[in-house]
Amino acid sequence: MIYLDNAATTMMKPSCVVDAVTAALTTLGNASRGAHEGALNTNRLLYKTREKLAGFFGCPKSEQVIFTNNSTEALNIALTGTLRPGDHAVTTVLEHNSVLRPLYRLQRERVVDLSFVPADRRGCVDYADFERLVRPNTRAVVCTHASNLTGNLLDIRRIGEIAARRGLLFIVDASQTAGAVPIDMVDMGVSMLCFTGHKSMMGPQGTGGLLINGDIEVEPFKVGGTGVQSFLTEQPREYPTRLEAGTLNGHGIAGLSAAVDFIRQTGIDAIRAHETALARRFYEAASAVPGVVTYGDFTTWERCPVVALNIGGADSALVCDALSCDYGIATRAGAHCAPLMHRALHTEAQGAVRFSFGYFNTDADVDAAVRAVREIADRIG
Amino acid sequence: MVRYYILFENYEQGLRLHDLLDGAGVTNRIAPAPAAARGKLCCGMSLLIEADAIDAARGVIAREGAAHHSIVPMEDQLRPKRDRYC
Repeated sequence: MIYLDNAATTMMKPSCVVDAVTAALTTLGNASRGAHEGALNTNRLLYKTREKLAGFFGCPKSEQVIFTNNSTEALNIALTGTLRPGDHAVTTVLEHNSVLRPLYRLQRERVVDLSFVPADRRGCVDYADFERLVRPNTRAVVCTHASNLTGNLLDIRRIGEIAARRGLLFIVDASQTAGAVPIDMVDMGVSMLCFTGHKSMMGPQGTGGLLINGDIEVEPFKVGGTGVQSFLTEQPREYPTRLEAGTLNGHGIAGLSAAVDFIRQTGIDAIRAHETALARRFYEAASAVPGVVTYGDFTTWERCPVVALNIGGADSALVCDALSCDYGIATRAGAHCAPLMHRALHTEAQGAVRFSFGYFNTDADVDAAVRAVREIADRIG
Repeated sequence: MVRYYILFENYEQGLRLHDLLDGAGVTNRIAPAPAAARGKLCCGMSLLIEADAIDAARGVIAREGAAHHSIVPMEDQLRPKRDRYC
């Protein structure tokens, strides 16, 4: 299989990640549940990994690195933990359902008002809209760092400046960029960063986190066992315990920790250069095929390594199926959990075929994909 | 050439029917759900059934009470050139 669905998850992981998870499976006790070596092994792992992640993302306090199962959980914690009845939030049509559905739920259940920054036919936003949509009761700007459909990057620093100027929380969904694009929360003015471990971080599924920059009161999304303060009837107020109830995914976090080491040793700039070169090689060849339409802003390569396209009027699912069955190429068709982005691109009915490249892909993978696109386009005629 | 796509609300429904059809010897294949057919309520997978097997598939669904969203006929869009010269 030629795996070009890295925006969904990176299937190939560095060998150090595999080794770390394997070792963890027979060495980790339950963190904060005792003082024996097994439990302490996990406590030490969590402590060190929080430190690593805080450094990696420029989060000032490592105790405000909260482990979650994925971005969706982190976003649910961030949004339900800070938005109150009567609040207003500014978000964008680029968002994934991991942002949209929690916001829609808050709209229904807490009467939180929402405003959406629109996008043009290339999926680009007008940054003035973020400021224009702010109201007196606006509490937060919530947006993705990059569209999972088009790969377009948002200028987080620019939005962060607007949020800071207007005294707003700035909550960022870094699902597509964590590990692929350098992020510094302080420098970019990010209040809360939500990331997943299994995409460009190249860690295991079931890992991720919420990082909190500054003195932000986030109410717990879930409460329960923490191993500490057992006679307290409420969730302890101290971070990270406040937002982490139940046994953590220590085995996965061991893999995530190794993945951060791998990215640091390889160099995020080197990883990004490789992935961007692959996406560019694919885009330049595939977009020249008659009948191929691409989606996104390709006037810049300050973007994620994603190329979404359609071939003529063919249903994206049928093209994706042909890529898989006839060429052994794994891509993602359909709506990509990004309904508003598809609406903005006018691809609701057809969907789109998304090719997304990862660190372990090669030029040969790209060339095979281009040949397949060319042949399928020829079949459609 | 018309083919049939069985659509589902989630992957669990789809994989259950896939097992049932395999068990009954009805040829079927997991395929991405066509974007044009699935609308807002279906999941990303479908079961692709060729025309000569659709009645058998319907029989299994009825007999087992298998949950599914709908069955949608669809022209194969990727082979028109071949059809053109048939």
